[in-house]
Amino acid sequence: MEHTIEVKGLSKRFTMHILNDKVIHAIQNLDFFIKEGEIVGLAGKSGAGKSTLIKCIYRTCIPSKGEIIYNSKKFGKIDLAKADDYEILALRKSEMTYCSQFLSVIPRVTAIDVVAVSLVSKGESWGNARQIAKEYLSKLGLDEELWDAYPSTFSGGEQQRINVARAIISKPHFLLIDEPTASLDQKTKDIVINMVLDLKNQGTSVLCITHDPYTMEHIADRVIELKDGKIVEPALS
Amino acid sequence: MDNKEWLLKVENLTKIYGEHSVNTLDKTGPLFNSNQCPETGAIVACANIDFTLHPGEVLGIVGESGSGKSSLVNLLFFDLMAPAGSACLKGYKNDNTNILEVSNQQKRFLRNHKMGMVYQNPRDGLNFRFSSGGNIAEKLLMAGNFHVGSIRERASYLLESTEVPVPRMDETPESFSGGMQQRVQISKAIANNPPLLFLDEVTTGLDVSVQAKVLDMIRRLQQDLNIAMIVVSHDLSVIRMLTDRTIVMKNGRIVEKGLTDQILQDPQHGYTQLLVSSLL
Amino acid sequence: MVEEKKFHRQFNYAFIDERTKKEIRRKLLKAVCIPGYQVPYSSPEMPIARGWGTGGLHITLSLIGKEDTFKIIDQGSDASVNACNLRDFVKNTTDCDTTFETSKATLIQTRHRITEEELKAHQIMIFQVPQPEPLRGVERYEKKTREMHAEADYAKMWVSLYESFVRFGDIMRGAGYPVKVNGRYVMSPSPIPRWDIPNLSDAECLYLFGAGREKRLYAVPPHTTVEPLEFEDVKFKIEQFEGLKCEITGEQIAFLDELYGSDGKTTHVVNDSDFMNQIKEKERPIQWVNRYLTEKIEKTFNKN
Repeated sequence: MEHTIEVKGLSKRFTMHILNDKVIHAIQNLDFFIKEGEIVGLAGKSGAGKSTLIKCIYRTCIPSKGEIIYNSKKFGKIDLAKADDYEILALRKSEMTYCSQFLSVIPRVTAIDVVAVSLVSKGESWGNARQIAKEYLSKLGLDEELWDAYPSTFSGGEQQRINVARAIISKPHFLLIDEPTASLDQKTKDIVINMVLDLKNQGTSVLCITHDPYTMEHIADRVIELKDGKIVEPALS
Repeated sequence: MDNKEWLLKVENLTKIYGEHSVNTLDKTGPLFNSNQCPETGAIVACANIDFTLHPGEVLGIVGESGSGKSSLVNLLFFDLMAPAGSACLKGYKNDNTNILEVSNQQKRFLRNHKMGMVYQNPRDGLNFRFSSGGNIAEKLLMAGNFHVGSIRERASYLLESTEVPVPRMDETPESFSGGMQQRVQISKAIANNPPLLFLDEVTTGLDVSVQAKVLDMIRRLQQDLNIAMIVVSHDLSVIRMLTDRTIVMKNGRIVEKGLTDQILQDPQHGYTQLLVSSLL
Repeated sequence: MVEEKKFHRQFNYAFIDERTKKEIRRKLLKAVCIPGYQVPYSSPEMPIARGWGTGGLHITLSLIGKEDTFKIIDQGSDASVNACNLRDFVKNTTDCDTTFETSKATLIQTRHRITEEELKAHQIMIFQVPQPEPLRGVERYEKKTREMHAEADYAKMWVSLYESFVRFGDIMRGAGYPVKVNGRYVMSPSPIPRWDIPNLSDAECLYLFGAGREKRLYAVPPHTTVEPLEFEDVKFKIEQFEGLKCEITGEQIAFLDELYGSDGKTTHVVNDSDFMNQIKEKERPIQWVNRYLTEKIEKTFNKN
């Protein structure tokens, strides 16, 4: 099967110019791949470089060295480490989504619209997009009263649901998730896990960070553990 | 990938005030932390600016005051004249005409049909002796609409979509609040459906709730009309909220450009790191 | 002989010196070549105050010859103080014939009116212009207005018409209604009533405009299009005088003056004094033909 993503020799170091050019090596020389329709779990202690790795792939961080070959459905093979900004933006719009640990939304946009906008940017009409957004939010068990409220005032769990809904509603080809089930109750956890598995069955590849053993066990086909920015053991599960 | 799609291409845009020597550009800039030439005293407003803007894209330009960010948009909107370098606009004269060098009449055509500008101070963009409707009418008249009824219809529509109470369209902007004046200015700027809009510090000086309303409106307009925008601001939260890509300027030069989330989370240049770490 | 006469008069024929006349004539040629364009000119001061018709006089005196017959009207009247004084001045400095009769005149200097009687190809009408710049009301800087003319940027003018409509429900320009000449320059027709505006267009005669204070002159050559600025749905209109007629002659199709009697009543009389005299004493002179007048005539006669 094709690899959706293939990482070769990936390193990221942060140079802090305002701290006398102090250098922090966040991740070093990583090699791994994710097959099409595979869910890879990313484990490790805080500060091991998990989030940095995901951000490098999403290109919120610029990798210092190495290649991230992404096999796009639409554009063919692209090295995400070197692709220009417009290519990245096009990919983010059409097939690669990132569900971050913290919800960062634009103030004064309703929960429905926050979720719907990812469909709208793919060309869906607002009416349809809102309809689909409602389905997702109700599946995730978000109180209907909150749909037209502003998410910045929501509790951690409620924000998390919106974050998940926003990332998976557009059925991405490649999904990056950072702690999707933290601060969720058991029932919602299962729903989220099932939703991600659903996507997997439709061919989506997933890279998922989680500290939660339950989620890891039920979601991941394979686990990669990071320690001090290096891969500990590419364990098979 | 479809990189051929572009709207505005700016190459080597340079504007220097005063007499400059051959070394002026080499001895100014972020490395020297100065935009004044040590030899001649000339001021470099901006130098060697290169960037491309795609249709419907929102580009942020961030930097401290005096970094040349306002000069940059003022040059592109012909408020400042005689720069070196070139700027080409898609769909205008074979896509390869330097708009900085066309005749005044052509520049006025471009200002009316191809671009809009929203200034920090509404007095720069609006004529306070005319009513709000009249200010919008000016743009429509310049585009050849000489039908009062249809002018008023369009003006009402624009004011409505920028949330200015339509019954007040025949009042002068003088009697409006700052946020409302800013929204009238935006209505005027988009009156002829330009594909490109410049926003220069539009929310600076407005109080927080009004600022939020104006930003909401800009974002909505961008989504609905798919206008490409260049947003100039010293405020990183405005940039984060509105833009996909960002250019960071200092001492008249571009020090860094990239995806907005990358600029904010993994800034490469020392100055950008300082800027981001100063964010409240 | 000539020397003696000159000595006796103590000034040149037609008062101003030949070099100045040459200067003004050259600028007049330019003005005729670019209809509606304001040409700057230079000249010495006149023995009357600026603002009292010096611009008109400059043109008149530089054009007038011994064979000319001169007529001057002020607001339609041959006998107002200003008209009389200027007529005397021109007469004294040139010895040419003067007349009250429009049809007999070759040069007509005017303030604020065009004659009610149609002018012919051999006649020149010279306007005394108080403010030559039609854009001055919307832009105070001369540098800017010149740029606006150069680039045909008349948006501000249009906005002011729009504003007038919005505020008052109509375009409220009683006199000096802005016109576009030959499809290019927007021009101030000097403060003539709207009634006279259509007569500027496609006329047989030559119209010259002189502003002495600003030292600008401009022209509308014969058979040149002059269009009042109007919107597609808000049209230019001439004064209507609905149901009114001249108290003295009973005339209905002419620009009427409103007079207040000592008893507080208002009466109306024909503004053009020569036109009124012709109707009273001889026969009705041939009037201008334009569509606004035709409409008015139809309206008036259908009613009666």
